[in-house]
Amino acid sequence: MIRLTIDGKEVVTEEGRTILEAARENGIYIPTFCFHEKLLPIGSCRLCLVDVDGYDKPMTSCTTPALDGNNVTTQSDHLFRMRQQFLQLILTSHPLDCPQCDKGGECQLQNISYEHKIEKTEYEAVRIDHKEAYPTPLIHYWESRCVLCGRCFHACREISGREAIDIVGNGFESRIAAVNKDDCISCGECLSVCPVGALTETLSPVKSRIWQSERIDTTCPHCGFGCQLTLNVLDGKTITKVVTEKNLPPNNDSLCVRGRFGYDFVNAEERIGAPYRNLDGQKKTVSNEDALAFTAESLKKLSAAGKGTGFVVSPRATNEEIYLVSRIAASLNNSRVASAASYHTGKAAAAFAQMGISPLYDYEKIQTCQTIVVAGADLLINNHLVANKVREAVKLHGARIVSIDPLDNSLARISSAHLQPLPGQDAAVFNALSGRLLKDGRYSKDAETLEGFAGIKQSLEALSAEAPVGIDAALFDKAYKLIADAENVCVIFGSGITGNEEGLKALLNFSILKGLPQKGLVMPVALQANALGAVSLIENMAATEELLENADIASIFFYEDDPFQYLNGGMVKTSLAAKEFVAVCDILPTFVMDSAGVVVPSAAFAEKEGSFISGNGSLGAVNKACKGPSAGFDFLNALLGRLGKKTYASAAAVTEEIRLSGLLEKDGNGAERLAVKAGKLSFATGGASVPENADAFQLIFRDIFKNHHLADRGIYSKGASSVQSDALRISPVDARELGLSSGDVVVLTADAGETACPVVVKNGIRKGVLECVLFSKHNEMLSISSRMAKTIGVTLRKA
Amino acid sequence: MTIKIKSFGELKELQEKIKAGRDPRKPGITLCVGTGCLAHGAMKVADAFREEIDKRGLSVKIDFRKTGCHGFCERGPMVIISPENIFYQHVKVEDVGDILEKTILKGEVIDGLLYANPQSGEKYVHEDEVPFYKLQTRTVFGMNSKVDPKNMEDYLAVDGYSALAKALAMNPEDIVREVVTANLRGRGGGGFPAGRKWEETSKAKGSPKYVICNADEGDPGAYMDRSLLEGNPHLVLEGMIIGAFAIGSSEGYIYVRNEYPLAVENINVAIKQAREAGLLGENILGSGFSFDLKVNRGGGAFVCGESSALFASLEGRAGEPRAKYVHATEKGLYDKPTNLNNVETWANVPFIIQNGGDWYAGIGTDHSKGTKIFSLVGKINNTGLVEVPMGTSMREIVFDIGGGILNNRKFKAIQTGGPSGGCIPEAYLDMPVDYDELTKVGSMMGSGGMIVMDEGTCMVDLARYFTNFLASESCGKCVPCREGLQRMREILVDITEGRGQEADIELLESLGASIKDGALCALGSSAPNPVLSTIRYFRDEYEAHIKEKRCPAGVCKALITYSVDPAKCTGCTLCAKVCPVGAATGEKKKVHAIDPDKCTRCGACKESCQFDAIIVR
Repeated sequence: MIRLTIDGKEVVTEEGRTILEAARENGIYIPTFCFHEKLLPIGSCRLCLVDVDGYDKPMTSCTTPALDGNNVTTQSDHLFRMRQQFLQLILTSHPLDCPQCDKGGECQLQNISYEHKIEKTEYEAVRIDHKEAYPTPLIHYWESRCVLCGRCFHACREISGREAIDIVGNGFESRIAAVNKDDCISCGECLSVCPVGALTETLSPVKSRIWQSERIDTTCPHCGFGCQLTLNVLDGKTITKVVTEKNLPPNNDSLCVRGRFGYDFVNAEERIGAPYRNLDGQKKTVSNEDALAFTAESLKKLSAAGKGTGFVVSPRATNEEIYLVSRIAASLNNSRVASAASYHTGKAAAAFAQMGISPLYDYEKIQTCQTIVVAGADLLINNHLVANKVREAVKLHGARIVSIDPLDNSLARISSAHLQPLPGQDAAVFNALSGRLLKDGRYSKDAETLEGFAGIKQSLEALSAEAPVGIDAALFDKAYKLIADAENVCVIFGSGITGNEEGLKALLNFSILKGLPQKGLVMPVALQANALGAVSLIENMAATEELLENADIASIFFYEDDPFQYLNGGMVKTSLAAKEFVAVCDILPTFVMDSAGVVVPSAAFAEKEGSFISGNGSLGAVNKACKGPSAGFDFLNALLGRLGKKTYASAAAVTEEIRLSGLLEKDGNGAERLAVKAGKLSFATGGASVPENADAFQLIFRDIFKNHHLADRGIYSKGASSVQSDALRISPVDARELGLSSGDVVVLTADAGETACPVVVKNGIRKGVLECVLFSKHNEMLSISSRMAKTIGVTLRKA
Repeated sequence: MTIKIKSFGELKELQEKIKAGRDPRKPGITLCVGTGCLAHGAMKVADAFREEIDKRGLSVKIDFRKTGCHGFCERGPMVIISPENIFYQHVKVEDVGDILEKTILKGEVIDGLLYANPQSGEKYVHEDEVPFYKLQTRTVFGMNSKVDPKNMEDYLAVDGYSALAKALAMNPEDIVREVVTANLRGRGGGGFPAGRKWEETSKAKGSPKYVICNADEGDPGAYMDRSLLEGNPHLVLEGMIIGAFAIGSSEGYIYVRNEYPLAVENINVAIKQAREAGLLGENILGSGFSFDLKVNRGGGAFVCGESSALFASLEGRAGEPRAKYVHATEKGLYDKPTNLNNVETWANVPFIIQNGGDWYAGIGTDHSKGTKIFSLVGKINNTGLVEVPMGTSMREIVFDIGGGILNNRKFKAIQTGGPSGGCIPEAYLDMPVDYDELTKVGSMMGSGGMIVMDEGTCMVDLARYFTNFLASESCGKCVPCREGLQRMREILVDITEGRGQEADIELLESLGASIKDGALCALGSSAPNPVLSTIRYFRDEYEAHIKEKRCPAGVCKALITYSVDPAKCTGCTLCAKVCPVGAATGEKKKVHAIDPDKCTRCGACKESCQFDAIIVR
């Protein structure tokens, strides 16, 4: 700790802090403008100048380290005048178009100018506007309003790891420009840090000032990271924008494109307003009561006849809704509940439980790890915020990254080693890493006492500890060294790993051998907002196709789920045709509704009360921001009543019951999270085989579990769809061999059929691997494979 | 040369062998083909020499050598005849035959090619008698006239790389200590003690460590770094290799301004030669020390001469300075310890090692040691590069070495330190030139540019010119520099165009002070100097522009009118002939007149008038 004097007051701070940080910690105000807590100091505005004894000029407090014995003056007439002068200079070239500007009322330049008593500007010289397109259509750049503070392009690099925008031109002619448009991921970090209205979003359906709209905090409904965001709602009905300004964990004011711009589906015109029945191929609107009665009677009748009932519930439904579904299921004979959470989170959770690894993790623990392994997870679309946390560890703590992915991914560009195993080869990579840790004696000695150690040791010793075939040996050695040398290691994995049981076991065995989770953390990313909630609440969870294919299941109730999004549509259709009763409850038209006898409207996340359990186990509140009933919850609750079971007064009452069931507990800070059943750490057996695949190409699906409310039968989010689309990508090597260039149409063939689509040549993809990003063409792409899989074998030819 | 020198002994042997193979009595012709002389047509002269020498079968009998800049650019192309050291100036293609015929073969001196003192008319035969050279101390720069920059043997013949051999046998700490003792200060602008940088970098934790040569010389009119790099690249290399050894670096960069293609070419040739000779690369001179370097061409931004902007540019980012809360010596290029010095600083290093820090510290003033190369340009007779010990007076530089003001006009001011230096008036002509004295009078050493102004220079216009340059070269990152310089530029344009207002001077002063104190990097914090120093010394000129709408020097077009003095006009009609717009008219042998409405104030009439009959007011 060091001591210094600021404005005559003695303050104590940690070594390495800046003068600004020391002042803020001690409640001393220094005006800032370009400074932003989430960015490294920029030092462009010069407003935080302070006098420090021993320096002949005022120093910017945001960049000057506090030293023991410093004597700092933050307020003086001279400093005030300098700040005034710089503010006047900024205002000279900034138009005073505040009434028209989005930022009116929440503009930092307004506030700080007012605070510094700027009453007039000496000159007027408005910056010209080149009217160049910003790299994303979701954001407009008002060049004349830009004060060139630099926050936007620093955020682009530091937070999002991209280089889409930069400052171009010299001196007064400087401006922000799209220097690398294709690098933009529309995350909107630039927008969120802009202190003035130079960057405004183009998506808002209506404009409203901060004091005209309500701001309601809630949890993001897209992936399972658990971002806390604030909905701006006008008239209790229209979401006008999403902001994050409260620095709440886990996302601390960052969001991805879907969190920030993927909200407009709530107000989509296509919303289902009333229940209807499909009668003789015609949709017939019915009353709520009719829909309810019909559903209850059908379920009861089939159940009474001894037939099975299936429920498929969305891993994006709230805990409360999932709980009601499971209560309904429990009231019927031979019922099963399935969820798309079973494909990734379910498998990870099962393996964790089996091996005694706690499923809870703290994102901030990433910051304590020297080496971060990211395997089979593209953190660009899903869990983008995990990538931000990793980048923070690299930026602030010098962490190194090892990427294990046959495809390019968002962290590959800053990875110290990017190993590219073929799908299925992950097991070999982790086994080789484990084998070498054993051979060199660099594993955690605690592992020796764990169950299964002898077995794992024996089986690993029988395997190669060298780089698996096709993996660059020097890179492998580098990756191994980074892992072996690190005291704490973080292993982050996605569906690329869980898609293959052997790979998952090998990864977890490797993690335990390295001393995780004690010395670091091992974390599966969650693909859906409440995937862990679904996994925790549903007992004996089935995979959706199990119910579809099971002839004993005569009726299926889909709750906010559309299996056409992740299964072969033809197969789903055929299976459903054989069912005696199909009901769907959802907010927007989906493909599965065509097969339903009755369709009931549900509520969007912004219209619900309840909670999600994020991937790390923490409970996030889902708060009602828009008026109106919570249709889906109310329907489930009433159905429960019709089935003769207890109903609930509110979602809160359901939460309370979940709490009482012992599923939740409070962490050290009083925040609620999933209650962990302590297990005994042990190694898994197996995890060694490397399946050979005869197919010419391995096609990897990306984003198969995206929120179908963004796009399903139609495009429901203009925001997301304007910057995201389906894509098939191929490595330059394969493209050359096949004579393909970007834009060429190719035909993909797998066991269930073929489809044609254009291909894009992209660097960073391993030879023999294709990357297929799904956004709205799930149906076409999934129709070629008979089984649900993250990776399928395909052949490819030029159309 | 492809022989690899494997030890200090082998280097010595090679040097001696080269020297032994050279007959000091052999006639030689040295032609300067530095940038200044090239502009005067030196390449044609060189071709003519080659052709004539071949034609006369003299190629074995005489040495012909093309060298880098000798400094006396005003008099180029220049030839030195050895062994007599005869100095010929303004040599043209037509003179080549004569030189060979008369001087080389018959030993006659050609009077018409000798330099004559413009004031006294006295002529000088030998180079070392010419006052321009005689009064200089050409320690660093003198070697330029002895080496062909593309021929490493020339450099070895003047004991080149001996300092490196000596250094490699020393302890790295002792080398740093010599540089500290020498009190060598950075020649690039800041004047930061090089020894301190070396010391900090050698002690800093982290690897690799980098040494970088800043050759992004961007000051208008300054070309000393260019001339060193073009003319004697091995000297710079030798300094860098010594520096690398001293701080424990194995990688280096030379960041050269893109507009210096010849410098890039010559340094690349030198690097290749040095590598082949074992002076760069693995195991240098068998010492076990390895070091190599790359040349990087700058992107053309003036601000890239600023250290952190230079690093950004080298790393492939926009050349924009970053806030320096950690010294480059600890976190510089790629956040690794970095020792950045400019060309001239590196070029001083071999001399310090060869002669010792104490020797070096014996030259100069209390806090400014050694010699400094200045580029002397503007309204001066002997335009060129001059090297003098620190502390030499401005008067000596301008009048004795520089030969005084062009056309015997009156000295008005001298601007030192590049575009962001200040203007120093006549009252300070006897001031000793060193880092601290220049700062005291509101200017700076900078990289050593000196621009001489005569009475015909308008100081407001001059301030406008430099502010305009600096505002255009501002990177745009920080508010004071980006916005403040733009405002200063606008105010100055208004003043020079007759729209100045009463409070403008005070506004410029207060803006200038804030920019000086508040800007992020040295470009910004020194940028107000031209304005502040001209206000300080020539406030009356500003006032004349603002209050009387008058430009005393007769420069600012909006404020002047041209007329004919009837008493002096002879009616020669020359003004009418040269006037591009037909404003000057009159009949032969009658007094002419200038129509103020047509006149564009281009000044052609005044320049052409033989009778001083054109009045500018």
